[in-house]
Amino acid sequence: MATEVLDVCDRVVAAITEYWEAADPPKGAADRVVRDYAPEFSETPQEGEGFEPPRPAGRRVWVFPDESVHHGEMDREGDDDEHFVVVAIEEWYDGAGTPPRDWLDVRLAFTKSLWKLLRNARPEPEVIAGFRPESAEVQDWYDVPMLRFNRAYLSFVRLSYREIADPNP
Amino acid sequence: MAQSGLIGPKCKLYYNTGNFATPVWAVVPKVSDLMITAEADEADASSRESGAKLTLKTLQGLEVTFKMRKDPADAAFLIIDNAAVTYDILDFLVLDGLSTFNTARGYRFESQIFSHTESQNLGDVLYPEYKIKPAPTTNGPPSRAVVASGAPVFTAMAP
Repeated sequence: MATEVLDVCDRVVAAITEYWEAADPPKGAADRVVRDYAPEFSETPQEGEGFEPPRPAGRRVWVFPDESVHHGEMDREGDDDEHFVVVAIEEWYDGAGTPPRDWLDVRLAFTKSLWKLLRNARPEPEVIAGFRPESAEVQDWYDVPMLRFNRAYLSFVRLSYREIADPNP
Repeated sequence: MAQSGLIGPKCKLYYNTGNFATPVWAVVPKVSDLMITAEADEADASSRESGAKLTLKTLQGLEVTFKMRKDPADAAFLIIDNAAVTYDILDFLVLDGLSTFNTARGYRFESQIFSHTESQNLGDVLYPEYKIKPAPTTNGPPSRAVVASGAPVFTAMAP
C-alpha cells in the first residue's frame, strides 16, 4: 500500500542521489542519503556534556516526512493534497579544531543546491515525478549549537509537494 | 443531522460511447467546475385584457460550460479536446448524480464543442474550459433526463 508522503520522501532521496552522483565533487563512499524515521543526529550527545561522541564519517542526508494537508477536492476524480518533507544535511568535521570557513561554505553551498534542485517545477521529466513543488524553505542554513559544540554542520530544508490524489484510502 | 443537499463532487458529465438509441455512458472523470445554464427567450404576450405586462417563454436555451483537467492519457479528454477543433458532434448526458442513482436529474443533448479556453499561468494545473449547447441532429431535440429504476429516462424538450 502506497503512502504518498513516504513516496515523496523516496523520490526526494532518489533525486538527491542522482544529482549528487553527477555533481562535482560526487557523492563519496562514506556519504549517504536515506529516508529515516529517527535520524541519528537528533540523539547525538554533544561534546559540551563532557565526553567525546562518536564522530560519523562522510556527509549524511536525511529525508523524513513532516506533515500532510488536504486542501479539498481538486476535481470530480482527485483530491488536492500537499505533503511536507524535511531534508537534513549533516556532516561532522574530521579535522582538528574549529571547522574553517571554506569547509562550511562548501556545505552551505550543498544545502543551497538541494534547495534549488528539489523546488524546480520546470524540468521534464519532473524532479519528483507525480508531485509538483509548492514551497521550499531553508529552515536553518546551519545549526549553531551543533557547530559550536560538535564541530558539525547541520542544516534543514523543508519542502512541500502538491498532488492530485486518489480520494480512496 | 444528516445532510440533505446534493454536492458538486457527486455530479457527473457523461459522453455516449455507444449509439444514440442504445447509449453507453462513459463518465468524463476529470471535470472540476461545471455550469448548466437553461435560460429561455422571452416574448411579450401583453394584451388589453390585462393591466399587467405578460410574458411567454419561446425558445429554451441550454448551455453547459465545464473545466476538465488536461490529461493526454484520458480518453474523454482526447475526444472532447479533439472535437474542439473539428465539427464533430458528441452525445452528452449531464446529471447531478450517477446515471444509476434514482432521482438524479439533468439533460441529454448532442453538441459540438463551441469554445475552448485554457489558462496556462505559472502555478496552474491545466484545466481547459469547454462550452457545449444542443445541435440539430436527426435524433431530435435535447431531452430532460431523470434517473428512474436505475437508468436515465429522457423526455424531449419540446413546447
